[in-house]
Amino acid sequence: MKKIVLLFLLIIHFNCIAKQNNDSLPNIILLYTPIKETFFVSGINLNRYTAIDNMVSPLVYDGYGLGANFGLLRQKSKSNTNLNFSFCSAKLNNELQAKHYATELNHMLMNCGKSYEINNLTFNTIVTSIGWQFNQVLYFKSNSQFQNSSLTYHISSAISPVFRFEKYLSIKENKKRLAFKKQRYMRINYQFSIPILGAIARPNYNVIRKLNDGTGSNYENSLASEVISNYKLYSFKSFFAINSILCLEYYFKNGNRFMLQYYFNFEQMKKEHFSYKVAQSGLQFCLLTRLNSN
Amino acid sequence: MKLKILLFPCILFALGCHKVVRRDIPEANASAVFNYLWNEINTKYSFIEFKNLNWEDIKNKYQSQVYDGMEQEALFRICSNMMNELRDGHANLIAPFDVSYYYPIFLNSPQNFNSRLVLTNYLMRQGANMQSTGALDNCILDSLGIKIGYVRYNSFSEKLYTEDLDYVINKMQNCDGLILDIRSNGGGSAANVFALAGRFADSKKLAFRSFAKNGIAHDAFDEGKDLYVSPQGNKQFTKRIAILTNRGCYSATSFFTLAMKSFSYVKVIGDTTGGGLGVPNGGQLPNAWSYRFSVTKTLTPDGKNFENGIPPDITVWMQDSSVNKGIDDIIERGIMYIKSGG
Repeated sequence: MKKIVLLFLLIIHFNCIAKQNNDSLPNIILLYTPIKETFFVSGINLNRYTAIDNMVSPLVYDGYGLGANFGLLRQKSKSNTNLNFSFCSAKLNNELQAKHYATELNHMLMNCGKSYEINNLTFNTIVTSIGWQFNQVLYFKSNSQFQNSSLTYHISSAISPVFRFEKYLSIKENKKRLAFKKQRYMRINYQFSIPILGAIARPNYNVIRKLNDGTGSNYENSLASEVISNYKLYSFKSFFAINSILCLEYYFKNGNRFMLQYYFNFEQMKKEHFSYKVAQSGLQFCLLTRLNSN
Repeated sequence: MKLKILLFPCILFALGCHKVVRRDIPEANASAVFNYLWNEINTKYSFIEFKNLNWEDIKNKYQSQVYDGMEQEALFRICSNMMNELRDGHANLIAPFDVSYYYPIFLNSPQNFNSRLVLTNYLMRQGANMQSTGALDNCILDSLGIKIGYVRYNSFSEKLYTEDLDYVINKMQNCDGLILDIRSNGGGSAANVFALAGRFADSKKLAFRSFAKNGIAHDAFDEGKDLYVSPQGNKQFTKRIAILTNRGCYSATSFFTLAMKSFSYVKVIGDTTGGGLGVPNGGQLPNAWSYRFSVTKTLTPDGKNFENGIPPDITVWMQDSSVNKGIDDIIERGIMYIKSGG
């Protein structure tokens, strides 16, 4: 399955690149150009996680993992829309135990959002945008030393306002709407969001899967049905999260872009016997392949 | 300039803001470890009320022996002694240097099983045609012309494959009855319980009800779940079946015994099982030791709690005089049930 997905991504990627190479684009990068551009985003990421899950352990687990991401980015002159999927697998350890007691962490993230420009002044100033974002975050942790409680998870769905700040680099004063020959164009932006409402699924009180009814081939309840039945709404008071991204975009001649992102995500749930905290920071290296523009 | 821009996120990555999680690292001194374990049991263990335990008194009894700076081995002994007050084979404390068990369940009872005697005088009896089919040792005993299948299952931890079960059930089809010997089977995976029980089911039957602890109060349980046994595989064996048990039957083996009691053609023969009808969880203490204890309770369809052991339908203990003659009284009683029905 993994191979099929990878192959699919590669085909899209190379198709787009090949197509664009045929477009006899001049050696020109336009500023604020296209009114509308759509990119296919793909990349790899390196993450660091620090997590504490009080349902099974009071200890802090820390570790690194590698992952991949893909998505779509649509940029208009006054707005940004994005849809992103990322996956990372990591091994976390605590300071008191040997490495073979590691917790395996699988982290999946899906987010989509839109931000609108609210302040567009001259160049060399910061462009401010505001918008919304929907995050679906899945953390699955597995540690065999906890036997029947080896699998824990926290799955959150949250809606949050987004604040975005952009600054254009390599642009000179009073060159608005002019083309730059032989000069690369870069953009740096910072975005953060704080969810105001979240729905979270945590394991049962004792972190054990309930037994199935005995009639099927599975003796335990399916994970999906447990997750769905354990979903509960939490307000800002007991659920706090922050997602922040610092991003540097580097424009290629053919309209594609390279993107380097540093992000820091933090999630915390405060509820007796169900609490957890997790911090994630990472570097993401992405290629933005232009699908269309007009 | 560009280099600085590239370096900036790298520095952020290295530093991170992970201290926000790290500041919650708990103390790992002896008192903190003891109190953490006591509190976990107090809020999650499922049989405090059923076993009539005064958990506050138990805390006072052991807490006075704990002091900061004490040796790890001494702390382990105190914590494991406290856990043994639960009188539960599912209650274990696991440290890098030791694991605690509660032994009296079967050590304070007659063994009622002799593996060598079973092997030499029954499985390997002349003409019995002993086979080891996956996890199941099996043979056919001929008692005055009546054919009795004998199946020995040592541990529910050993996976039961469909093909192995098919083979054994097919082999036993011509027998007049079956002895299923699960004595001293200490349990294992619940998946094997339903896989095996389904081969002896003539219809779907309610086996038991499982309730999980869902709150701090000692009597806080969820609404419960009904668990059924239904026929599995192409063929089932539904003639007379004798299930042989002793106090060494624990956990999954007790679940299996309880499930089989719902069928009228099944008789449980031997000694009371060891119990262990609560599913254990798992967790960790501030000093990285881990623990487990029961967090569910299981009731029969008519509401009985056999956590301390499932009584047999026919109680039989092995006698030394019989053993000396090479006779297993419990197997012999199983043969009698199959021949006579009583």
